[in-house]
Amino acid sequence: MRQALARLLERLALVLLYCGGVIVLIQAVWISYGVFMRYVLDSPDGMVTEATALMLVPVAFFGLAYALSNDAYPKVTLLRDLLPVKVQGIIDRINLLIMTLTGMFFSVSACEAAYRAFHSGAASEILLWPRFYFWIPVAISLLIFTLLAIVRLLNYEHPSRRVDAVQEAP
Amino acid sequence: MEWYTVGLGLLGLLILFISIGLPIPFALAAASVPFLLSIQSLSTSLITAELKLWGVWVDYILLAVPLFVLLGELIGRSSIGPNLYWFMHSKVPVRGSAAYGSIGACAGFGAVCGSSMVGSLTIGGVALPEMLKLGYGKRLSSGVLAAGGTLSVLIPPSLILLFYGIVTDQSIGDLFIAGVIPGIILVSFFIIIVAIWGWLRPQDVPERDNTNPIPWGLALSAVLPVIFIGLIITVSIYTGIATPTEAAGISCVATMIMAFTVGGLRWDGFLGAIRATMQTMGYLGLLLSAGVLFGFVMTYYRVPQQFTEIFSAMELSPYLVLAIIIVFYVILGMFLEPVSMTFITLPTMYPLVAASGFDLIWFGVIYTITMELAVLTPPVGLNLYVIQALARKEITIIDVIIGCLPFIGSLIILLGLMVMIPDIALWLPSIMD
Amino acid sequence: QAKETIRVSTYVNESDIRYDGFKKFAELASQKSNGDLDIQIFPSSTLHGWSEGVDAVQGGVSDVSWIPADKRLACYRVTSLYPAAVSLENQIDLDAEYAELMRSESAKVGLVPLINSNYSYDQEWWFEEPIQDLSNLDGKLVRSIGPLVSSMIESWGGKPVFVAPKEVFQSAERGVVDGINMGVATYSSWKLWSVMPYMVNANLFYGNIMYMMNKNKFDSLSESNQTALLEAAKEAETWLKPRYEDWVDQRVGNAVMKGGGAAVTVSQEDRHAMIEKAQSSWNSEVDAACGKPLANKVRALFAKHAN
Ligand code: NA
Ligand code: NA
Repeated sequence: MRQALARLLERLALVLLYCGGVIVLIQAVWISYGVFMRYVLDSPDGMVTEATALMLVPVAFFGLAYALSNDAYPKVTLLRDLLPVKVQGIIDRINLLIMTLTGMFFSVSACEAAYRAFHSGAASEILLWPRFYFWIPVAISLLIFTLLAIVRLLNYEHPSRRVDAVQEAP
Repeated sequence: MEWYTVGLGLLGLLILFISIGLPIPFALAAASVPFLLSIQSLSTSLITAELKLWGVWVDYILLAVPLFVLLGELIGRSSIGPNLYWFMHSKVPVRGSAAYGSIGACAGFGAVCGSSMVGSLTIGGVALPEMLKLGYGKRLSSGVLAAGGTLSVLIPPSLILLFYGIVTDQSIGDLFIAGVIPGIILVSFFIIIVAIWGWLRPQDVPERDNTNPIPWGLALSAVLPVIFIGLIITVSIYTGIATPTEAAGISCVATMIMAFTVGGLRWDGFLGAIRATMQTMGYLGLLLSAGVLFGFVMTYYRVPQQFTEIFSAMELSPYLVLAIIIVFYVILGMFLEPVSMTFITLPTMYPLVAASGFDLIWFGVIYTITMELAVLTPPVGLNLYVIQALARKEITIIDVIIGCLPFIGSLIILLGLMVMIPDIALWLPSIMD
Repeated sequence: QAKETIRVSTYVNESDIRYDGFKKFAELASQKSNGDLDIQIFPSSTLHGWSEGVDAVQGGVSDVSWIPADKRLACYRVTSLYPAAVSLENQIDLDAEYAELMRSESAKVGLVPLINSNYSYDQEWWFEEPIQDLSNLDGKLVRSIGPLVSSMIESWGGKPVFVAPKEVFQSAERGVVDGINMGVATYSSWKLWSVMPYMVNANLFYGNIMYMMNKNKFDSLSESNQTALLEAAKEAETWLKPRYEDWVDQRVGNAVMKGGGAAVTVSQEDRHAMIEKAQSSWNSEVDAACGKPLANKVRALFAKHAN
């Protein structure tokens, strides 16, 4: 059950990741088009600067859960590696717990922001795009990250045991 | 709570979290939140977090980050990047040519890019895997690339010199010109370091290997696209066709086209490039936001302001002031990220420098060198983490830190030279007037 | 006795004369409240970004912030920068009356107007090449800062371009744009002297970026402290006005001298023609955002202080 949930969340993380990838491609193409319109056709695109900058917000968070499932966050494990395996297990769990709590804090913050954005401001002064366009994907990314962190905490096994488990499985 | 309690508490908590192996973005956030909650209500803290998540990333300048990361990934995953390094390894008749080539690439990229993190990410993304494959030592490779990225802020254009000019009211044009000669000196230092490293630890710098020479056709199919991309970026910026961020967009699209046509990139390689780009963004997103939140908590308790006030009240002799300021920035640079440091501390610091009779253009270059140190020093050293994340299976953060040590040493020597011979920075602006 | 801490967030940096204005405000507020009010100033946007003023104040991150053109303050959004020929002779009164007109709209989002930051005196257009006639831009690419300015640039035959603040220097230097609309305060801090040395002083707008306070926080103050705060704000505005104008003059002089450029002032006749043209297209927006009665009051106010 928990394994299935983990797989589902990891699949969602991948979906979010590719959403971000699509946005980066849109940004690259739109910016190039903007330069072409201004420099070659002498008729500047008034939206491109703000629009692409706003799109950067979700791009910055879409990869969050994927980075967790790939263990891609920079960290210093020098001290941890020196400790006995049992203590390592405790420390790893503490770390996952702190990551979960941090994720929750930012998730609540982003969800509130998305909720308030329905009643409030435009994202910027020139383009009057509503802010929730950008907050909703950020909130979803943070929520998926937090759920994945919880599942990882519940499913935790020390890396050395995990290898055994894989070997025994077939 | 007193400001020094908060300052020490924040740093203590950060170091504790980092040492138990908590990933850096979470260590920064988890150290900040308790202090945030002790001065703000929960609902206000949540809004502070919201403002930082949003505010950091609604920034047109940072748009260059995913674009250049993707550009680097596309070059690295097509045949362009591997062949380029194969070319340097087999055709360039110098031992260590790939390492020198990486320094050259960092310097060249520094001439168009103003951010050291973007410099490290772009060149490192291509160079690091290739250098490791060719048999370069992992400490040397990661050190060269983490330090090489900092050339972006000394060689103009430079975001740090730009912000410095705004805060201190100095000519940005003069500041940019002042950075040129120190930048060239630093490039030479980096080259010397690689030469000495290869001499002391020959196992880290592979012999030039011509047993498996790259065919010239293949070599050209790698070298020409890279030259072409370099030209697109440089020409579009220097002739006024595009702003630097726009140049990132154009060059990214051009790289995509060339990677698919001459670089033999296939669909799965392309998807891999997208995944790698978004994974990098995945940790940068939280890293930068949490870093700014950390700086925010310090500012909210007025820690940097109080510190500078005490310092300015001491009334010391000019060179002692200078020495203390440099040490202050080196130490603060261990914990803060350069842009927030510039806006938080510089307004109070630079009048002290001016009052001691030092030239502010010259000090701008000194300041920038200390900011280069800041991104290379743990626990908060953006370039270190950026490079380690590019090859986290092979390289530990300790490898990157040790690899950076000689380069950090050369930055300190450059600081000494600048103090002894201020003309290193001031000569070029003076003849331009 | 417990002090009441009030955090003031501003985008101006410490070398800006307006920062001195805030210091004056802090000093006066402390004096007038017998030390009850402790005003802490956070310069250089260290508490929040340009567009986040409303969120920051509503959420309590800062107690007083500058308020940008925000959709939640519909009427303020279209009138805090308004094409009008205003006399700055009675600027303090003009600003106070304008703030009064915005009071009820602000109260609805939990804000109280506190300090006016009138920048009408500092609005210049800068060009790379000498220019005679602002109303004939002949296809020039000009950096714009918002919808009103863009519509004006277009009506003069130019092309509005949006350039991010951090890229202004480089794009101006390399010629990505031919001109910019920017006050000399910002222009100087970006060191654009040699890059865009030809100035046109047009005086086409009433511009006021108000600093507003969290209403709950304001209401929680004792009556005497409220009065102290409001008086301090008004006195600081009065104190700053001549200093700000001198500072701007000095910078305009510097800019033109250092860059080897020239300054052109638009003739009164051309100026009125340009303003009328801009007003006629902008007024429908103002009517829609403010509602006819308030829109008329705002226009009447500017007419009363016409120049
Ligand atoms: Na540079
Ligand atoms: Na550091």
